[in-house]
Parts: sequence; structure tokens; C-alpha cells
Amino acid sequence: MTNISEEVLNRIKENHIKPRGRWEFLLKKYFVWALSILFVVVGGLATSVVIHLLNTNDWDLYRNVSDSFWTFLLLTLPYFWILLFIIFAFVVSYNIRHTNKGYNYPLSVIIIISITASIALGGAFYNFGFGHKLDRTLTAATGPYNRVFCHNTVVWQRPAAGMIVGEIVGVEKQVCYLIDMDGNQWEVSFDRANFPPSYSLMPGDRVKVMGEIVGPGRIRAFEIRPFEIKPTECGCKQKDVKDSCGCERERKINQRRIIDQMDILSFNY
Amino acid sequence: MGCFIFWKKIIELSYYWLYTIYMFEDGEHKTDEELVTLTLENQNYFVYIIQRYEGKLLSYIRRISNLGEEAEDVLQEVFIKVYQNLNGFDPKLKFSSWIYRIAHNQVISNYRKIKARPQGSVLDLEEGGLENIADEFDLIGQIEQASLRENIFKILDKMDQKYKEILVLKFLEEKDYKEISDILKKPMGTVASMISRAKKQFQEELEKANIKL
Repeated sequence: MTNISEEVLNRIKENHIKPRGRWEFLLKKYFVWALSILFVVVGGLATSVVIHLLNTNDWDLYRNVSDSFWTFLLLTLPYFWILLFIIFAFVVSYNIRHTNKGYNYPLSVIIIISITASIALGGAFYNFGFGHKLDRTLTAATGPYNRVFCHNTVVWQRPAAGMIVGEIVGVEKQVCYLIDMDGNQWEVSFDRANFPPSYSLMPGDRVKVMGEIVGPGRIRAFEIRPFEIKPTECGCKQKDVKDSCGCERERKINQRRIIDQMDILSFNY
Repeated sequence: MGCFIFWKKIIELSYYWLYTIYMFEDGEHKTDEELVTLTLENQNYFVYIIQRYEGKLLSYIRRISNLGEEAEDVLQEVFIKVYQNLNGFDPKLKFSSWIYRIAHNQVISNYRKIKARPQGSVLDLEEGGLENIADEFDLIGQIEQASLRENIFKILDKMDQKYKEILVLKFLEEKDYKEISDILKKPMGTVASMISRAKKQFQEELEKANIKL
């Protein structure tokens, strides 16, 4: 027996060193995989919210909100969710890289796979309505989410520009009353306003209003839209053939009209 | 009848003891994977693993760490870690790759402990390793020169640690790409490009030093 082998065996015996149990290694292995799967799911949820927010982003009104499409895009991207998605994609990649066989694959390939998995899962979640539900739940439950992370609020709550977001507290024949995100009360006249098809104002609804300020606490609306639009809420059941859908055409005509009205307004000023 | 049973028992016991002694004596002929299984049942078999790898690992540790006598302490730690983690050994991996990986990690851990990369070369270059490097860099004509060995030490010592280690694994330890990939836990493509960059750096150092070989 050589010196080293003798010393090593003596140390093992004297210090009662034992091999770690197989279960410890298995537990670590399964923990890493379970964590990776959990993060892919969270990344998928973030993706579904991103899809939902992008889908309900009022792209058609970008000219009324900003100078250019790109400014509008930068203003309204759901950064919080995109950041969350990126963080989780990297955490998943790091985890997979540290599994027993993970080092066999280049990090770039692992990142692409985890991003693809999250996007695919996010698409499925979005189809099941999870994106909308999660956004709605967080909007209802948390103030900071509403104020900071929900891009609709940032873009639409600008009273000076004739844009407000708020909750309807009362509806009359041609007028409704709402309390905006800053807690101010508004009287909104909607005799000339456009609404999405099949939509009627109800107390408790959260809406986006675009119009002209006609006095302190008074606004004449050109466009009123629900704050949150479900993908299927346009009244058309044929989601996949939107262009041939009557309500979609009506919606486009309304959009054209509101854009023209806003252009006339800005010209008059 | 009683006598027959008695002798049968004696034969069975003798066979069992002889088999046990044979198995233990025969440890040298067991594969690494078999020794791992046997060590988990009887720690004395661990001697065979140590004896099989102590020489190789000691020179590997010296080659990548420049440690002198401390290399033996590091080696002891490596074997203790190997023993502790025997249940974590994946039989799909070559045992030698696994044990080299533990040695590699222990050297890195040792660097961190002393917070510096030791200076001064104690590289031991055997004839086989020397030939491999000389052949790769067209120095085979000068292989007989005594200065060649010393100059190769110097150049390897000047190189980045990661490139030095990969050249050591490729040319001195004579590991293939798959084994290097398993030891360093890097994809094979990365190993290939690291070897290529390491060779380039070796060549540059060779030219920069203007060593007369």
C-alpha cells in the first residue's frame, strides 16, 4: 500500500467518512429539473400576459397617442413581463446547463430551447385565457402593478391630452361619471363617442376614454373602450377570420372616424 | 448422511472464503466501474482505485497547478471527495473522466483558497507528452535537445490557465475530445475551439519568446 492510499484510508476510517447516500444525488437532480420546469411555466405565464397586452394595445390609435409608431411601441411595451420572461429564460438555461448532461449542449442552444418552450407554453396559456386572467387579477389586486407595470394606464391616463382611464360610477342617458386612476371624478358626455360593437357602459366597468376636455372635470368623449378587452369580446365568434367579420369592419370604421376627429381638433387648436 | 452434510458445509464455507479472498486479491483486474460498486460494499476496495489513479492524478494536478509538495495534499482531498461522492458517479460517464473532473475542481478550489495562481513551473513532462507536443508544433527534430523540455515548460507556464489545462489534457494526458468535454464540463464544440485557440497561443508564445530550439 502506498503512502497516499494508506493516508487516505486512514483519514476515511478515523473521521468515519461515509459515501453520501444515493438519494441525496437523486434529490438534487430531480430538484434542479423540477425547478427548471417550474421556471418554464412561469416564463410561459409571463409570455401569455405579454401576448395579451400586445393584443389589446390599441395599435390602431398609435397616431393619437404618440408621434410615431416606434415611439408608441416603446411607450407601450410591457417591459415588466418581458423582463420577467427574459430572467426566467436565463434561470432555466442556467439550471439545465447544470444538470448531469447539460454541459454537452452549447449555452446558446439551451437558451433558444428554453425561450422556445416558454413561448410555446405562453401561446397555449394565452389560448386558454390565462394571460388575461393573470393580468386582470394583478390589476385588481395590486396597486403598484396597476400604476407601474400596466402600460395601458401609463399611456391612457393623461388628462391634459384628453385621455383618461377610470372606473364608471354612474351612467345616465348621454353622460357617465367615472373616477380616474388619480382619484379625480369626471363627467363624460358620450353622445358623439364610438364604442366597440356590442358594448354598453355599466357602473363598475373600467374604461379608457379619449376625447376633448370641455371644462374642469368634464370631458366630451370621442372613443370609449373597455380597459381590458378579452380576445373574444368583439362579439364575433370567428376569431380566426377577423377581416371578414362585420364587427371588425365596424370597429375599423369607428377608428378611422375618431382619428379624423382628433386630427380636426388638433388643427383647430 | 451427517458426515456428508458436514463436509458439504465445509466445502461451501471454503468456497465462500476463497471466493472472497480471490475477489479482493483480484481487485487489480476489475474495471473502474466494478471497483466503485465493490467499494460501496467494502471500503477496502478503494485502495485499488487510489493505486490506479494516484500517479496519473498527481502528475495532472502538478501539470495544471504548478504545486510542489502541496499537490499530494490536493490529491488526498481529491480521493476523499471521490469516496464521498461514489454514489453520484454516473456509469454512463467514463470513471477516469469523472475522477479527473473532481481533480480539476479541487485544483480550482485550491486556487480560490490561496487566492492566487502559484508561480514557478514544476511541470513534469514525460517522454510521451514531450513527443506529443513536439509533434504537434513541428519540433520533432529538436526532441533530443535538453532545452526543449525546459522551454515547453516556460511556454505552457506563460499561457492562460484554461489554455494550458486544455493542452495538458490533450497532449500530456492524451485525452480525447469527449473525455475533455466530460472533465471540463464543456460542449465538444467548445473544447475543439479552445484547443485550437490554445495551440495558436502556444505558437504565438513560441515565436514571441524567440526560443532557439
